[in-house]
Order: sequence, then structure tokens, then C-alpha cells
Amino acid sequence: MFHNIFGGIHLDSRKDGTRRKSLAVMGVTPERVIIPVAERGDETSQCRVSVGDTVTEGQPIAETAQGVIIHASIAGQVEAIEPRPHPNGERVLCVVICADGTDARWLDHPEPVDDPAALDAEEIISRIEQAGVVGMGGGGYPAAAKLRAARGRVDTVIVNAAESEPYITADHRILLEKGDAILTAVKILMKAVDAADGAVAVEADKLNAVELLERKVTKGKLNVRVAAIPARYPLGAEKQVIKTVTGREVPPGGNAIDVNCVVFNAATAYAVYRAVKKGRPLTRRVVTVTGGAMTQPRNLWVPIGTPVSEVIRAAGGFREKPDLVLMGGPMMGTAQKELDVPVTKSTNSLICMLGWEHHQPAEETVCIRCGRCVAACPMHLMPLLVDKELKLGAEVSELLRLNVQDCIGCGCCTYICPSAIPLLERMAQARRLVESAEKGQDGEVLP
Amino acid sequence: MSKTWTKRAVSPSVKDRATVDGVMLDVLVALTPALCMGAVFYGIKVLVVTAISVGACMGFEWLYNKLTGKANTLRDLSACVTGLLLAMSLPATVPYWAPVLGGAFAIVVVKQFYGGLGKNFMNPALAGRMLLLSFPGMMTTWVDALDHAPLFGTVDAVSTATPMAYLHLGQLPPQDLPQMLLGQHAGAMGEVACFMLLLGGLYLLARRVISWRIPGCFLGTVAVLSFCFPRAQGVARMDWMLYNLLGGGLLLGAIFMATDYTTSPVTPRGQMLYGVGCGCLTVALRCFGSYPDGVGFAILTMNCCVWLLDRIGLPRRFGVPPLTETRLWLRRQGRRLAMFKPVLPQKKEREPGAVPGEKQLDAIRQWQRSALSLALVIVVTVVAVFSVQQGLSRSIALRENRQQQELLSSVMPLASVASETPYVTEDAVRILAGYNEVEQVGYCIEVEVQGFGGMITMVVGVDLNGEVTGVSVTDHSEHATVGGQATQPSYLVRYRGMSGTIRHEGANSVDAISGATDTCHAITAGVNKALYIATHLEDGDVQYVDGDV
Repeated sequence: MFHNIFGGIHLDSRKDGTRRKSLAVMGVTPERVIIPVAERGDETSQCRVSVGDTVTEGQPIAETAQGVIIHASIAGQVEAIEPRPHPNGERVLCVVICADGTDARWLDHPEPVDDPAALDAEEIISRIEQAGVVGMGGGGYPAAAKLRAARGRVDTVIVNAAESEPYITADHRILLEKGDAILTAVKILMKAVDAADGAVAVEADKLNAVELLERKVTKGKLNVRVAAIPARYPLGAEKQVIKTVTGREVPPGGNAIDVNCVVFNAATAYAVYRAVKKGRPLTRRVVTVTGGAMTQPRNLWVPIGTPVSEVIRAAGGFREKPDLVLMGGPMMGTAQKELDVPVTKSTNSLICMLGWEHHQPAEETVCIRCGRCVAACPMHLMPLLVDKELKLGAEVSELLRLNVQDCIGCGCCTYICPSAIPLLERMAQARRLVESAEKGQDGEVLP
Repeated sequence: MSKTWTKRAVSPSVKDRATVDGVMLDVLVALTPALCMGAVFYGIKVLVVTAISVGACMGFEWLYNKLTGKANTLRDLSACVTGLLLAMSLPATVPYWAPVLGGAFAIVVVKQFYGGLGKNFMNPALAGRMLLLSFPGMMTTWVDALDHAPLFGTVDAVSTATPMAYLHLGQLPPQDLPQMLLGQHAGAMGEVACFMLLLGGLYLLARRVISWRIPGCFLGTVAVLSFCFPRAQGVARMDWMLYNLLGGGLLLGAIFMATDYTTSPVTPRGQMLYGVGCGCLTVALRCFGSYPDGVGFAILTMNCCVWLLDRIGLPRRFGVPPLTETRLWLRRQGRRLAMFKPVLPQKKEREPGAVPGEKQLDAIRQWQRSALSLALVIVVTVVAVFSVQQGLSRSIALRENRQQQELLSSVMPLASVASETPYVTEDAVRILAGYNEVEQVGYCIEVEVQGFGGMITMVVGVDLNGEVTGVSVTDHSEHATVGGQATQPSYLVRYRGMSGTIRHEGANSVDAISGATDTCHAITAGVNKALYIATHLEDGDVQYVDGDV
């Protein structure tokens, strides 16, 4: 059972390259990892190691401004602590570790437990905090902080395994191979926030995963719902997944807690399971390496901080020179200019596209008012009117009437526009205008 | 392995295949079957007119772009669609200049003057067609299906009525429903082939070029309204509904013209309102309009409301419960109303030295100027209206009086005034009494008799002795030269002085005019009838109605 949502688009899924390939460990340990210890270039963080130190795998090496603990993902020597290129295009502070060939592990972790759901909520959250778990679907928000905010205020925990972006199969494979762990994680999270219901949202075109989870739920008599939701983009976005699973709509400017829900990505849920049950920190994640340019598209366990070039080499290297390398999905991912950037905690895929796979930039023509962007917008916005308003004079009051600040940046409007108008850019521009106008008024609330 | 790409980092990296020219091409493809059916029904001229129309539209677009130095927009195919739609809404008998004129208006005035594709507020093809409706003779000459229109010269076949003309009169057309569905009747070139139009509509729906909302609401509204309010007597409601759906330009309008992107709303709710509005207007115009079909006018009218519909249909904000805006608005209005509190009049302390009522007088002086001018305007208007009405009624009375005088002079020369009498009979239209200055001289009796070519209305003057004083024929439908002789005063004068029952021959008879015997006999019968009525006014045959005569 699901609640239908307005808007969205049907995308060519293009998941066949990797959806049958099981999770594999990288064949060779990377020579060097570049672990970002900040989110943005202007952030500072507290490093617990210095250049020349020897570190072991899993050793806490830094704490970010948001309080997330960063662990070394391989054993080796700290080579440098300096700003390096980050996938988001900025240069952020990174700890560079050069592998020394050993597999020495940090041993000062919490003890593994048999029944993680028996731990009390504070213990669970502190284990998650110590493991440095963040939102791995792209948000990057610290999981422990989210749980603390949600504790006692939510009734439903949703594990979001709806990968509605094309190409990516990481969460699908995690569900198939670590299904028990995911269901345990749902129980852990329900315990941590004291929620009564739990749900796993899976797209209905991943029927093998749906079936597997349902079998496990029935067998284990778990209080977890497996919600098979329509395979439509962007149902994997947080607000849309809440609406689809529970029928509740997050109010404008609010977040999931306002409608008594808390959402975790499937990869995050697995990291939570490892952190609470086994006491292991978040040092590696699943990355789907795919695209027409790859020799062997795969789903790989990649240590955090591995340079993209190393991941590509582990997947057999390029078959042809790619036209575009994307980190994240083709709808919301960012194109990478260079391959030195590291895999971060929220990198779920590397897509190396050939020329025919992505659209070639077309010249923008006039809007013919076909209304497809209105029909596609999952946030009930009217991108064509925003575009028109920007061209006519960009009145902030008019932009506010069109609710531009609700835009989630899913890109459906640009995808669907027959006139090739970059509507997503226009929406972002309008949002910036509104935000700067709001700042300029010294916190005065606009009507 | 450090490589640098120079691709711009713009998401999303994938894109739907639809383009503007692809969409337009889909519309052209969807229209083609209906056009081919038109060519089968009305001959090769259909294709020639279409080619001229499309050529004219594309030519004017090219010319306008050239003259104003704009980029060439022929490749988006929108001018082609306009030309095709314009041609399909014309009858096959139009002269070749008609699509050129319509195309020029559509492309240059309606489309390009407002800024080109995406900016015009009216459907160009429909506007071009409506301009051509200024030549009603040209736009309502139809040939029947399979009566091919000639390529050159005017149509020699008698123009045929379209099914819409029958429906407009409140009757079902003679065609049966399969014929209507196929389009085998007179009509515009592309409007008749309903089945092919539906096929085209399904194609557009399947290709997601249009949504169901506009055509569905449009056709649904027409269906419901014509089912609920059939205008024909004794006809199954279902039949009336189906003929209304298949007749005229409804399907072409609903599927292809109302769904024109630029001139229809973009919001889902706005689209539904637009469809319903089009449907209501269509039914109303078909019912009350003087032109048989109202689809075009309905769509053009709703085109002008698109801005409003888009504002009304603004989608509900995500995360805000439905009707929140409305509820807030109502609450605001309620608060505004609450501001008007009943205030009880309070007795105020008079200021020392003030004259009582002076303040009120000052207030009155404030507005007396405007009140006076208002009163003046009202008085002037009332006087003007009253005098015009008086003048009109006086001239009407004078004219009636003059007519009565003329009648009296021919049927009863002695009388100068005629007035209504209280006598009523089925045989006479009315019975007037004629008076001279002193007393009554006789009766003027208006009777109707069956003549050779129809009813003859005549007034017969009979004096109090029962003698005919004169006869006048006021209305007849006899042949102008043959039977008409008998209605001339030269013949009618023969009845003067007759009384009793006049016979056709022998004693107490009037000689008939040869060749107009039937008419003469009819007039004699009428005179006899009047004589009988005049002599039996006091008997039982003629009722005396006192009071309101």
C-alpha cells in the first residue's frame, strides 16, 4: 500500500549493468586515501593526528565542526593535512594517509553485542556517534544528531531504499545481501527514537528485494512494513518518500520530524547496524561504479577517501574515454572535472558516461507553455512561471507567491522541458534571490 | 590518471527526448487521417486548399521574421500546424484567397504581433477562421459528402445543410450515427471525420502530447449538458447527446484547438476549469447563438480567460492541507466583518454657543453639491426617456389612425371613425363599428377565406341595411397577375350595394374575372360570410362579450 504523489517522471532505469552484481571488495587496497574532514572549504575541524603519525584502520583521526568523528579507512602514515579538491567542487581540508601495506586495526571500539535492540536508546545513539555515521544518501547530516532531535517526537522510522535515480544499484544490493542487517537496523533505530512503526521503502521494480524482505519480516514476526512504492523519480527524495509511505506531507520549511517521521538511507541503516551491533566505525561504503565507459561495472566496497581514479581502476578501468564522470545519479549528481577527488561518505555511485548516454546541451528556445514542468514537479511548483517572472523583472513578492523556496532541486522540470530551458538553474536563481531578500530585511518575516 | 574534463557541470545530465518540433510533428501526424477523410469526401480540392493554407502560414512567418530581423522560426513547425488547423476548419468550397487571408491574420496579427510562439493569447488558427466568418456566404456554402467540390469555379451543386444546422433548429439530422462517426455529410474539411479525429486524439494521448484533462472535461461537459437539456421534442436523450458530440467542429476543437499549449492553462486545475468552461459556452452558443456551431467562439472566449484560470488553478502548496488558503481567506474576511461593530448613538454634550443642528447642516452642505448634480442627472434622464417614449407612442398611434382612415375610405366611405365592438365570432377576425360625425353607419367585418393560393384576408363594410358599402383585400397569396386581378379595387367595386347571399351566376351575382374564377369565388364567399355575420349580430351565432374587448 502506498500513497500516490503528484508529479514525478519516468526515467530509463539503466540499472541492468550492475543490478545482478553482488557487492565486491576492492581487489587492491588503495595506495593513498584522501579523507575529507570538513564539508565545505571554510569549515575548520579538529584533527587528532599530525603529519608523520602512523594510524591504523578505524582510528579516529578528526572531528568535524558538526561533531562527526572521522576514522582512518586504511592503516598507514599521515602524509599531509591540507586542502584538497572535494567532489562538490571546493577545496576542503583533508587528511591524506599513505598505505603501509599492513592491515593493522584500531582495537579501542565498543564491544559487539548479540541483541542490539536490547541496548538502551542513549547507548545506541552514542555508539552511532562514535562510529561517525552520517546520512549516506547525499545529505551528510550526522545520524546521531538526527536521532537525538527525533527522539520521542516521531512514530515512524523509514529506511529509504528507493533509489529512483538511474544507474545506481548500491542500496538494492545492500537490501538483497544484507537484508537481515537492514531489518535489525530498523529495530535499532525504532528503539533509539522510541518509534512504534518501522518501514522499508523499496521501489516496486526491485521485486526480488521486496519479496526477500517480506519473507524475512514474516519469518521474524517483525513490526516492520515493506512498502513497495512506484518506480518513479524522485520518490526517493525524503519528502516524497514520507508522503508515499505514510501519506503525510512535510510542511513548507519544515523537516521530517514535523510529521513524526525520521528517514534513513539504506546504506546509513547498514552503517548503523555495524556501529551498534559490531561496534565498527564507518570506514567504507558501497559505491556503484557503472556507465557505458566502464569495462566491468560493479558494486564495490570502497574505503572512504579512495581517489576516484583508484575506484575506476578496481572496476577494470575505462573501456572508452568517458565523456562525463558523475558522482551521484544523473539527475542530481555532480559532474567531476578531475579524478583525484576522493570518495566521500555520501558518494553512492560513480557514473562514467559516454557521449550518447547524457544529453548534449541544446540551445534554449522560447517557452511554449506546454505545462509539462507543472505536471512533473513533485513539489507542486510552476517552474515556467518562475522563469517568466525572472525574465520580466524578478519581483521577490511574486517569486514568494510561487513558493520557489520549496524547490528540492530534483531536476524534473529541466528533464521534461521540450524547449530545453534550464529551469532547475532558474529555480535555484530565484531561490537565491528570495533568500538574499529575506536576509536583507534583517530577519523581518515577509508576508 | 589525472584527467581534466571541460564539460560544464550542470545537472541533470539526462533529458527527455521531446522537443518543440517533435511535439508539433506529432500534432501534424495526428491530424493527417482526418484530412485524408476530408479529401475522400470533398475531392482533391481539400488538399489544394490545405497546401495553400500551410504555405501561406509558413510564408508569412518567414516574411515577418525576415522583415523584423528575427531568427527564423519555421523549423519549430508551429506555423505548419496553424496552417493545417485553419484549412481543416474551412468548407471545401472556399475560394483560394480565403486561407491566405486567414493565414495572414493568424500568423502576423494574432501570433507575431504578440511576440510569436508561446506569447499569443488566442489560438491563431481559430482567430483566422473567425475573421473569415465575416464572409458568411462563403463560410456556409457546403457540398455534400462525395459531391466533390470543383477545383476551379463556383460550386454548382445546391448547398446542403450540415447536421449542425438541423441541430440548431432543434431537430435530429437525417444522417444516422455511423455516418456521423465516419463524417459522411456536409461540413468543414477536417471537422467531419469524427472517427479519424478520435484516432488522432488517442495518438496524442499515447504520445503524451496532450493530457486528458482539457478534451475530457470539454467533451464531458458538452455530453452532460446536452443529455440533460435536449432541445428536440420526442427524441431519445442519448441520440441528442451523441449527435451533439459528433456534429460540427466539437471534436476538432476539443482535441486539437482547445489543447493548443500556448493558449490553454498550464495548471491541472486550470485545465479542468478551462475544459468545463469551453463545454458550457459551446452548448450555450449552440442553443442561443445565431450561428449553428459555437465551438470556435467558446474556445476563443476561454483563451482570453487563461491568465485567470492559471491563477485560480495554482497547485496546492506541498505540505499545506487542501483549502488552507480558502480557510485563511474566510477567517480574514470574518475578522474584517467583525470590525463593523454596531455603534449605539450617543448623546453628546452640546458645545457652548453652538446652534443645535448646525453640525448636521454643515455635513449636508458638504455633500449637497454632489447630491444636487446627481438629482439633476436623474431628472434629465427620466425626462428624456419619458419624452422619447411619449413621442414614440404618439407616432405609433398616428400611424394606426392613418391606416384605419385608409381602410374606412375604401370599405365605408360614409364613415369617418371606426371603433371596436364587443361582438365576437369564430368566423370573423374582428368586427368594427363605423361612425360618421353623428351616428353609426355600419359594421366593418374582417374575415378570412381560403383562396386559390392560400388564405385571403379581407375587410367588408356592411351598412345597417345589410348592404355592402365596400370591400378591401388586406392580405393574400394569390398569383400576382392572374388571381391578383380579383383583389384589385377595380373588381372589388362590383360588390358595392349587394346584399343577402351573393351567387356565382344568375340573379344577385357578381361577374367573375375569367382566369381568376377561383379567387373571385373565394372573395364572394368572404363577402357572403361578412353579410351573414352583419345581419345576425344579435342572434345566437355571434356572441356579445361585454367587458374586455
